[in-house]
Amino acid sequence: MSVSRERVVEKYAKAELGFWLYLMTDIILFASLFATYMVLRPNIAGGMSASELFDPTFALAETVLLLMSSFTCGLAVLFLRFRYKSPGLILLAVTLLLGGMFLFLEMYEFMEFIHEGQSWQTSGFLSGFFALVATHGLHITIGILWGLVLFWYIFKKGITANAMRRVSLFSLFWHFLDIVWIFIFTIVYLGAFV
Amino acid sequence: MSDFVTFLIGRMSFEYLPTDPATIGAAIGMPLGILGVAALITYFKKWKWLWQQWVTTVDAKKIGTMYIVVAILMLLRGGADALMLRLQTAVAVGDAKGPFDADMFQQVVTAHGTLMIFFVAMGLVFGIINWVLPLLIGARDMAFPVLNSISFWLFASGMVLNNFALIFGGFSNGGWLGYPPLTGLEYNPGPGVDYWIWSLQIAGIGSLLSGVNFFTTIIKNRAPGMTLMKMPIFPWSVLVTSVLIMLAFPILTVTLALLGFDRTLGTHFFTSDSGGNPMLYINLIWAWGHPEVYILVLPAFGVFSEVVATYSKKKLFGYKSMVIALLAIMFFSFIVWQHHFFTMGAGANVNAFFGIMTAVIAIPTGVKIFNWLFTMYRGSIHFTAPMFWFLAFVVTFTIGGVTGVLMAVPALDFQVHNTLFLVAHFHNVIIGGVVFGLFAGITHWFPKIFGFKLHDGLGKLSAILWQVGFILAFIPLYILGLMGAVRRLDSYDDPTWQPLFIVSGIGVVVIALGMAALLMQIGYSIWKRDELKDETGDPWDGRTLEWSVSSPAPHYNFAITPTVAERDDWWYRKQRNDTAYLKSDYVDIWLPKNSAVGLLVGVGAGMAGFAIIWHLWWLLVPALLLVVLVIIRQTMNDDDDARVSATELFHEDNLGRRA
Amino acid sequence: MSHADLKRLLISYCVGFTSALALSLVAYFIVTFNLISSSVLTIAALLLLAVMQLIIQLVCFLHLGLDRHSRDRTISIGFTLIMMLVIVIGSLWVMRNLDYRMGMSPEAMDEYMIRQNKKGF
Repeated sequence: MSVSRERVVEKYAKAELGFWLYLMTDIILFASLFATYMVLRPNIAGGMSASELFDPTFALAETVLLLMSSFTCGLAVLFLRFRYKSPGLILLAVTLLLGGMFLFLEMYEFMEFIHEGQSWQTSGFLSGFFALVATHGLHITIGILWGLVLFWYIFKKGITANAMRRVSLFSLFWHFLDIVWIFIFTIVYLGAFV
Repeated sequence: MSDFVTFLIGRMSFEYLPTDPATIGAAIGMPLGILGVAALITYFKKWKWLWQQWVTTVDAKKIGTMYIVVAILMLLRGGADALMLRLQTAVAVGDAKGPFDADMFQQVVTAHGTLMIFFVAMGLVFGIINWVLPLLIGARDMAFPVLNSISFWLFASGMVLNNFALIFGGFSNGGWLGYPPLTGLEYNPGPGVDYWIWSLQIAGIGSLLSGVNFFTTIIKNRAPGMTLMKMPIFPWSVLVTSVLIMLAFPILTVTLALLGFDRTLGTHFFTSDSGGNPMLYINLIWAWGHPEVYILVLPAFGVFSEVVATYSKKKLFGYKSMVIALLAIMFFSFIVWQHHFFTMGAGANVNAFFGIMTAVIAIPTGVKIFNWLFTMYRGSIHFTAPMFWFLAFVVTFTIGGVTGVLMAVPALDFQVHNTLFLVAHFHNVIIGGVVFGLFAGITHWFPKIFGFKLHDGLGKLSAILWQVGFILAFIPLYILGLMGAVRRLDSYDDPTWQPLFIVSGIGVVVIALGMAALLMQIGYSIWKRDELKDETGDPWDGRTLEWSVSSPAPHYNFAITPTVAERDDWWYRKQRNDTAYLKSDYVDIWLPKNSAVGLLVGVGAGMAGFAIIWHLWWLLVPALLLVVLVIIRQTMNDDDDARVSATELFHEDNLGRRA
Repeated sequence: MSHADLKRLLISYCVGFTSALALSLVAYFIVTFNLISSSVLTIAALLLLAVMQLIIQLVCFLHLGLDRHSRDRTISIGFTLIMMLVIVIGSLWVMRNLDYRMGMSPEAMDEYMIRQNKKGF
């Protein structure tokens, strides 16, 4: 017996609010990490300082990638909502690909730092840096996983009401992660050179 | 070979098995007890019943019952800890030895504090909320029933992990909030602190999810016509509590995770060397810790608002001021946290600001106390057991509040900080506020959940014993604290302190008797359940929606969604004789199906925690994978609802009412 | 939803994307070319740009506004951001103050904290 349309709408309204509230808790989670980073930033304990370590151009590349992926994600949802399945799915794939590239750059940066002997064990500053940026990276990873599952779901079952409910939540998550990144870009990367 | 063994068993070794007799007894007794229960279940062929009715249930009332059962079990363990602590301080003067050495004493203190806050108080709070929140707002269930079950199983999983430390590995000795550097690797290399971190982390994430769930439930699931200002005060208090949970618990998640990273990944967040800062931990943990106090006490305030109005047969005095007070507490509870470490070295400006804010937050709390008293004024008061708990609360909590305002003055706090004065203060507010409140709530709503009332006389006896025991146990601690006795004190030299410690010990025994009376009350009421049966569904002549349905409340709560016109709608409906429903009012409804997702997530999280504690990296991967896969499957599940037809509802509902 | 909506939303996404990109680039250039000499002003400018971008993304990508559909979400994020600022600024203030008063060597810190801990915080 299939569930009635009203039930799906009602569930969507709840899920949208509930998921939004989860994002609010995530704001506080990131805020705690930002506060930790800012408190520990001067404590370089003989390791490299923020301005010696970071490359603003590299961070800008990451920023642009993530911003583009946020943009394509919005377009993907828009096309899916208007029932253009193939363009929507292609844009979703592009979104995930850009997210994957962002993640690759982040990993590459981490590897570089560790290679230079600047790991999370080096100093309080680096512990704070890795915790903050890797938590964001973990969220991106979860987002990519979620996006892949959604892609597969829509590919198989089409644009159902349930599919749209989930894609909308996914786009909230993805845009939110881009907003968090703006502050990482500003406070961590650019802030290092002030 | 040895590399392989290390990979396989991590850092487990025989040295972590318990050595002292008390722990060995507990370590053998606990598994035996579990085996005994399992044998009984097998003997009575109840496994299927257990699985279908309890383990996989998504019915908030049953989840609430499970929370309360776990909380009461943990209360017994935490209470046994308290008995042993006071036994130690009653005898360990000068050269005399108590039952514990210093390290074990610290472990018992830590276990007592952790259990009581995270698994007793939180368990009781979430239990009561699950019992009655949907009923009070005219809803069939929580907004996210499966998420609710996940929350419970994460809580249960944290509880199991916490208790497992007793059997294998030993517990943290770092106090209930585990301050570094004492909880850092250097001073605490063993698994005890890791048990503490990961059991709290798992339970804490469960609480965070509950906060989201409760808030959405109140916003989205209210009965038609029930605007926020027509909502009873208990849901209001839950609304504010869930805001506090959502804003505070992420800080706990981060703080515990960072301490965990310090211990397992070698980071330098809270170490004293290499650029870490232990003071940052104390700042962060209290930025969570202070709101947590209000997360615990506000639902208890909500319970009292319902209880006092019901048994005084009057509408609650000052409804609006109650709501405003709650909102004020919601805001101020976030700007007082530094008063927990006035003495750590902050300057006068910081201390003065936080001290003043702390004094200010007492005002809305005082408003609430006066409102309850004015509600009683000129009411026709029925002195039942919940009212006994309320009276005990007024006395105890007010003493706790007043001593709290004393300590809000930084200059005075420098004198009494870290002494037993502080210990007495927070027991006054937590026991007097939270525990008494939730016992009142359990007594009040018991018939709605189980269909029979709790024996009133034994309830009153329990309240009196708790109150008397409380005064005996904690007033001496105030005096000792002023005389300079520090907290977590395992032995002392001044023999003049001993009489006070003995009185305090006697007080704990009286509290234990009160607890025994409470258990007897429950046991006796189950035995005499036919005599105590609630035929009407409205045994107390209640005011709010939950009393409009039969007792025990059906699993769908309301066969017909009620339409609300005013505050205390049920009360005024009764006055207008307007309580009957027509057959045509019944419509088909949708209910969530049972789900094992909660259990699986709880098991996965528990395994992951265990893997991190013992460095079993091969176990961590499948455990996390289990959690991720189960959650992905659940988010893609389109078929989690079952229909109940109108005719079915009509028959069941009328059967229930006639019986 | 009609095709007018589609067009409107498309424009909103494009505007959001270009202005966010522009703001990021401005922030980047301010830092790399040292466009502002005073560091206090630089920090203020960077934060201002970040907040502007936050608002643009909230409006254009997350469609927050004051209409009936999104008002609840707007209020909740506003409240959360205020509480976030309370927690972050409060923490920084407290920690700054402790630093200023307590600057001590790691060994001294260890000893101090353990002594405090023995007393039991």
